[in-house]
Amino acid sequence: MAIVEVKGVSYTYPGSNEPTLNDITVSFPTKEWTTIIGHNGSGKSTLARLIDELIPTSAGEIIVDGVPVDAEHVGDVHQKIGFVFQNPENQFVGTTVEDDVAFGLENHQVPRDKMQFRIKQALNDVNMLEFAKKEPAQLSGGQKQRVAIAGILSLRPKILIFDEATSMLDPQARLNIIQLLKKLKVEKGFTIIAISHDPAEAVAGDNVVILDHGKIMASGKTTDILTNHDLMNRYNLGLPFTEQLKAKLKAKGIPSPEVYLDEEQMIQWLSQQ
Amino acid sequence: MVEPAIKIEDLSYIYSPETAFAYQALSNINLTIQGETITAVIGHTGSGKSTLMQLVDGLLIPTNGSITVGKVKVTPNSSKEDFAQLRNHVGFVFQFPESQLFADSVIQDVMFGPLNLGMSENAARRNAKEALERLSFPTNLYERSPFELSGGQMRRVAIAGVLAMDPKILILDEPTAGLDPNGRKELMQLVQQLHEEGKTIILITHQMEQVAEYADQVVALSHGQVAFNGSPHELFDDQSRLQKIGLVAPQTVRFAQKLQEQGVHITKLPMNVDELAEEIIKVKKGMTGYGK
Amino acid sequence: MGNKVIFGIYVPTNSIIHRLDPRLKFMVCFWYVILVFFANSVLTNIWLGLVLLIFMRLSKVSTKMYWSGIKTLMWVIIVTALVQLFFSAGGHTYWQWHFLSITSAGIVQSIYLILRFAYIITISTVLTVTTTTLQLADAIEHLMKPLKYIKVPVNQIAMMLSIALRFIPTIMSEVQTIMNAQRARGMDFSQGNLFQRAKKLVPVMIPLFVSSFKRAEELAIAMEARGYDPNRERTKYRVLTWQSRDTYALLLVVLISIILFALKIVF
Repeated sequence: MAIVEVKGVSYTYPGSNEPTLNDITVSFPTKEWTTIIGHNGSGKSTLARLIDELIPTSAGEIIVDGVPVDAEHVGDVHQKIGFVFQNPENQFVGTTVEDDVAFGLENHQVPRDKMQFRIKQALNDVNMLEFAKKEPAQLSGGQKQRVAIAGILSLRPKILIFDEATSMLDPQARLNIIQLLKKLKVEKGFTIIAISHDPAEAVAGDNVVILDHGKIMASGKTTDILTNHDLMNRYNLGLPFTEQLKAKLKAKGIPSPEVYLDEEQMIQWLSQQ
Repeated sequence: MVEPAIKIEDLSYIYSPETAFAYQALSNINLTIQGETITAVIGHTGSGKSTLMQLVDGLLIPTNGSITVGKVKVTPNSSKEDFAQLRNHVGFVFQFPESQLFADSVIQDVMFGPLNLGMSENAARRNAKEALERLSFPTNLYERSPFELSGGQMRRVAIAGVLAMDPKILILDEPTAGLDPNGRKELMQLVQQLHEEGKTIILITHQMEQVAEYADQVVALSHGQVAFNGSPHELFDDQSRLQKIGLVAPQTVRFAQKLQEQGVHITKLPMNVDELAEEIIKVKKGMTGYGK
Repeated sequence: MGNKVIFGIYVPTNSIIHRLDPRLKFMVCFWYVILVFFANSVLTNIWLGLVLLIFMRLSKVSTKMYWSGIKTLMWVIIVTALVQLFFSAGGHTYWQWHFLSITSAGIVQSIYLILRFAYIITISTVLTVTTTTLQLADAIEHLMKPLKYIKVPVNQIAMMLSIALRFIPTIMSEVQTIMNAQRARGMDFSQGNLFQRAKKLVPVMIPLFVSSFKRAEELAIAMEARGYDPNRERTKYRVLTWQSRDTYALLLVVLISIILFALKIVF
């Protein structure tokens, strides 16, 4: 079952001659993590924004959890989708951490007595409860992104979209956020759509979609796509660490298994040889 | 032997001294950076690395101690001219430098620095063109507004703006932040190339992979003090010290260490994937080859 | 921490005044300023000064903080007082030169004037050192509420106010970064005449505008994604609750005012 269906969607920005997205058809399976990878300018962010009705669809059709994405259902769609953006600073609306989490709840007219519980719960889920009274200037980029995640968790969405949400963070903070997402996906059964230009991040997900020049070039299981070195190199996407190692070993005459191995599996395989 | 490019002695810095908000960002830093090397400066946010770099570029006046760059030495009592001199020797590419572009055209923006140094219009233009060429920036975009460019191109223009001033020492603060893997690779190749052309490079980074692959020297700061100063190899070899400073070794090193734990005998810590593959092959060949 | 931008002069001593409802503090401050203009005798001025001293004591904030408030406006006070002193007529004339004169009435008037300035500045300082900007914004928002009935978009104004507050530190640290980056490119902001210096702001203002517009755009989309609709009612998380101590404080202020008017009428 796919919770998000995109059918024949094209999009051209006003004033532009070339379409940013060209006849895209893709589906995102329920409770799975799909990573959309592609270069800057490949149209990945545009696709994500269309799915959340942040820009209006002009050609084609998008269905989110049974609801058509259009002007009429925009409130519904925003309720079902939680969207985390790239820049930690520019999505922090509240003057303090708890105020920022409250912002979405206030918009959805959640009564105040319920807010307190939901804010506490959401901040606890992202390990930021002790920072509730802090101001954004006192937080690191990674902490701000955690607050952004708490903000959308409090609204109880079904789908989480991350639009390069870790690209401005340092490697350690990035790793922490990815681990947090993994945990949330398992514990709360979210469907995750992550947009990234880094294959190392795609490793965390179930499926990968490759977007290039507004077209879908490949989509499938993460393990199938990331092990296809020709495909990854054709779109200049780089390879995750273990695949880089496999490629180097292969070039030097040591063949390794075709299937995707994560770091642990790779170590095991190497030590058993 | 190249003489030291930068010499820092007993350097301290306090923000808003003598107020309730006084904050000691650096205390008693002693450091020598050799010429024509790549030095990585690492440490957590708030460890004092930005403050240190701003001091080296003469953007802040030290509270105590001195900084010597070439023949220029600045102390808390130095004149404004001395600090300006320091800035002429040192180029500083800030984090997300594309956010400081302002001129009408790419070429004008790159000429800004050289003109500020007092160069003639012609000389400044020549320098600007040279710098842009070095960054293989497309010639047909020179007259474009910098705001019409893609993010990656904007970053190149910003870096060219600093290179055009022809500094001997170049500080780069997280130059690859926000770039895709390809852009990261290209930019680091550029850094390598500048280094080979004789520039002294100081690289502020969170990416341990970059430290391992490119740096000759690593300086780790922690709570405003030098927590480590030595080679990347030395730094990543000592896991307990690494942990104490709160750093994580690069993936290749961690991978090699895990392999060792599993009984695969790796002799040299690999600083990049190539070296890791070589080490693995050495072990494999040793086991399956005729030596057995 | 270079990006530690201090905004406002709030001093967290958690005194009784700190704990009062910001709406009350705001209104009392306003009312005190009105009272200052009613005080035109020695006794009423002493009474108001006494009250102010008690407020200052209760706030547990050092006198230095209050003095620095007056110090910044010192010249304005002195010049205005001098004008009052030399141009007032009435009472005994001590000295005269053309149209300038010093009279007994002038001396009294200028002393009152100095006191008024000092009182008004100090009461405002009491308000700002004991109330965070966030609380102040909340108070203003609540006090603006009745304006809804004359079609003032109070909710939108309140949102604008809160976003402005939120982003002031961000923008200040951004200005600092851009200035540093341009200084690193050889720019010297401290040299040149007024016109030259103004011109030097271009390399700071343009990047700042560009990034602010981008920020505004991103913020607007992020707010929309989280369900913000300026024309819809919103619930409110941050509420101000009027406590019994606020009622007592209000009664006290009423008493202070009665005493003031009594002093004015009786003496």
